[in-house]
Amino acid sequence: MSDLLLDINLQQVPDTYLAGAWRVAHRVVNRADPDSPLALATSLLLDNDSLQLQAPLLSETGSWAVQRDELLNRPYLRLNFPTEEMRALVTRLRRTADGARSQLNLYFSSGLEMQLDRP
Amino acid sequence: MISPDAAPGAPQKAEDGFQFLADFIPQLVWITDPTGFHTYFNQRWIDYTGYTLADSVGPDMWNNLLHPDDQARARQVWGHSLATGDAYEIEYRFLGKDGSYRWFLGQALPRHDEAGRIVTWFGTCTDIHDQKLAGEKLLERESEFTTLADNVAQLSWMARPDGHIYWYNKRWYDYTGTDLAAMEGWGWEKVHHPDHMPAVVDFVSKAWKAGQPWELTFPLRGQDGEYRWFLTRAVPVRDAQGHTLRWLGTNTDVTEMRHLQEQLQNSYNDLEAKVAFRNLDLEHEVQRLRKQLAQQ
Repeated sequence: MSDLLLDINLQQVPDTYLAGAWRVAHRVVNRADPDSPLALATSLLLDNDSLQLQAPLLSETGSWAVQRDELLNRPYLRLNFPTEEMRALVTRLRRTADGARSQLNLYFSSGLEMQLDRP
Repeated sequence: MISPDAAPGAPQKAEDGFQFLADFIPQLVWITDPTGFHTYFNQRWIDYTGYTLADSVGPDMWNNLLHPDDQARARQVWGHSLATGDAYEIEYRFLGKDGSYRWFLGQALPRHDEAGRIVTWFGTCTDIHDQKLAGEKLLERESEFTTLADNVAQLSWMARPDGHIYWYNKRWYDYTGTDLAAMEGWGWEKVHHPDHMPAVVDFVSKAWKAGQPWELTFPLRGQDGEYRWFLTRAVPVRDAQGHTLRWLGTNTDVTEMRHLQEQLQNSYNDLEAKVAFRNLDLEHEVQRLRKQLAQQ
């Protein structure tokens, strides 16, 4: 099976492609708070409706949902934590033909950008 | 030849005729005995070499007039003809009386007696100096052209007016891993992507007929099996009457450029999406207000 990551058409991406245990591979903080849990996160578990964030010294749980808007030609994620709610635009999703590996790029309203890898 | 039944005086007339002919024709003419000993040179020989007939007679003098680089080869070829009776033919340089060498085509045939023995050798030397230099110049230019064509960054080719490709440069063969036998004519279809080929064939079929310069971008398969994108440009070479003599074509690898264009386009799309995302609530509010205003 080819290990090549293929770009997924974001206008037709199934929600299930976005679920799973994601590892933070790369991030650009930009103007976001560098001490926020998201800026420090090492992994995100998007499982059914539940969300779990892992950082070196903390762990947070919440819920998540895939959202679509007619003004956007791609989906975004609504992430609900106990203290705040965040939105993250899916800017790119790539995966192998068999789905064994994926790469997800998110852009948060705070300016934070994140590349998540799975596994 | 002089006929035995010829009238008295005929041998002299024939001799005169031979002499006239031998001096008239543009070649240097010579005759040897069966051993290669020269017995005759025509006036043109004397005029060219500056040697009188007496000076010129002998087994080796002619060889001494040859360019030093040609002497051994000429001696070997002439020696072979003398030993076997095979026709003699060689290209060599003779020294003229002005001190310069000129290229000649030396040719000789043996004349046999009734018993089949060689009686004499009749030979000529034809001045081919100008053709030889022109040929050398042509070879030099061809070599320069080949060096240039093989070392330009592009894949290159030449085609007949109807599009039959008869030449590719080395880079084409290096990239595709093919040879002329596989590529000649319409063999190039073998390295095209099947999804793109119908459109390419349709386009070039019209382009050959139109006879105007054309450009087209399509993928070509490399010898590693991977496809890369090439911008192809073809220009017709015309004669004075404007008829197409041949096509000159190049294929420039634009894969990286296409990737960069793609990345740039993606970045632009991403930026637009990010701006729309950041202002999503605001945009919805604007739309709601517009709707309200429209209803009033």
